[in-house]
Amino acid sequence: MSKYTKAAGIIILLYVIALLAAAPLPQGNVAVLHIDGVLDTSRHTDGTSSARVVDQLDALSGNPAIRGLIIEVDSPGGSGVAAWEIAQAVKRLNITRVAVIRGVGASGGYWVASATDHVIASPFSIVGSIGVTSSYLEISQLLQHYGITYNEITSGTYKDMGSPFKQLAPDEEVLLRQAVQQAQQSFVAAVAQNRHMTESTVESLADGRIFLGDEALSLGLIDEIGTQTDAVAYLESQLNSTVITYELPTDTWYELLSQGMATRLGKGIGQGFATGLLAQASIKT
Amino acid sequence: MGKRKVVTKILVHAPIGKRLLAMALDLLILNTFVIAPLSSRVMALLPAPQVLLHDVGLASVLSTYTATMAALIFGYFVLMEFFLQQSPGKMALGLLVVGDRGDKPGFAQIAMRNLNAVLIFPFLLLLVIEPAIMLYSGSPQRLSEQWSRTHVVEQHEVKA
Repeated sequence: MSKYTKAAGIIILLYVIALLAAAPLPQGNVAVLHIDGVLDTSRHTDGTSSARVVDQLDALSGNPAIRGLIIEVDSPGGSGVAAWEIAQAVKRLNITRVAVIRGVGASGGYWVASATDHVIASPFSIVGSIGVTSSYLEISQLLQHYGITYNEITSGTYKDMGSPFKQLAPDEEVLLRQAVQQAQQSFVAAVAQNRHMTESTVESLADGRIFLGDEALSLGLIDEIGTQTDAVAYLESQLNSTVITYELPTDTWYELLSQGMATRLGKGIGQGFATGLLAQASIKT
Repeated sequence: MGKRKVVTKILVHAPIGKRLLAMALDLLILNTFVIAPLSSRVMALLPAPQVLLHDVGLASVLSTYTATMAALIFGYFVLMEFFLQQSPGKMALGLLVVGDRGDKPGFAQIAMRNLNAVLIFPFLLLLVIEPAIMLYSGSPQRLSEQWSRTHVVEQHEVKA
């Protein structure tokens, strides 16, 4: 036997050992994802970043060991885009998905939960608030009070629509209302599809109302009253195997390091100021 | 009458560049074939470090994987050098592992010289200490090679 054959034999032997060693070792087969706080499209947010969540969920689809997903929702919603992106990523996963609504699963938070196969909430969870808002800050009268004039040269009639420095014109308000209405219809259609309900049924619940868990169950917005233990039990019955959960990370190293008091304080003031002034006609779920 | 040629084989310590190249080739083979099933699992499981702190079960699973990978890497070098006196990387560059007298080393010698391949503390420290000592002392042998009385050599033929 040549030395090359022997070397190849040793490599094959070790490869087989590696395969055998990898097989029986316990591994998490169900990922747990936390959707906390306000949903945002930015990667750097104190709430949940849809960009990061989508990355995590897409990575799960390439892992054959992962057979289930539990999404723990405690969110009042946030950016409509973020909710839509997360819901789409959840639906792309070809595994059994369960949502557990903790304190709040409202608006965009509920949209995400509804994208799963089974929604669980506690009797006291706040569920629903299916609806869309669009808000803007207007300080034109304040400027007027101080004798400050707002002048803006725009390339189009509606380019400065929603600017806090001028009053919203009636036709601008109509346009904003139309955008909100369109977003609302998409939201309702998505929930109806996710929950196998008719759009008219969802529409009747989609006036922004919130429901406690028990009522949400009777209305068909959730499937079960329970906790994560019930989610595990559901998955075990669906997957016909023992569930070993592991948590998907929520913070990066950078965020952990930057979570000092001063950073958070400065960031909070800055973000609050910027968001207040610049939230022009943003669509929120 | 033809002249009879005398071929003398001499062993010289392998230059550090060739040794590093051989190591790189071995790492490539290890990563591509030997530890691939385990490393893919580890990469799939690897969460952010703060999750490891909270999830003791996951930390222990990852530790088991890491230990198994370390054993496979150690086994690769030990088996190759014990049976063939060279790993595939060394084979590609014509390097050989020999004892003090140019003889074939025993199993214990091979195991000892490959302690640096056990990627677990405290053996992990050898990965840093050994090159540093080699550079400082100018010795052609790593520390664990001195302990095991082994050498990495290349064979030259001198024709007379």
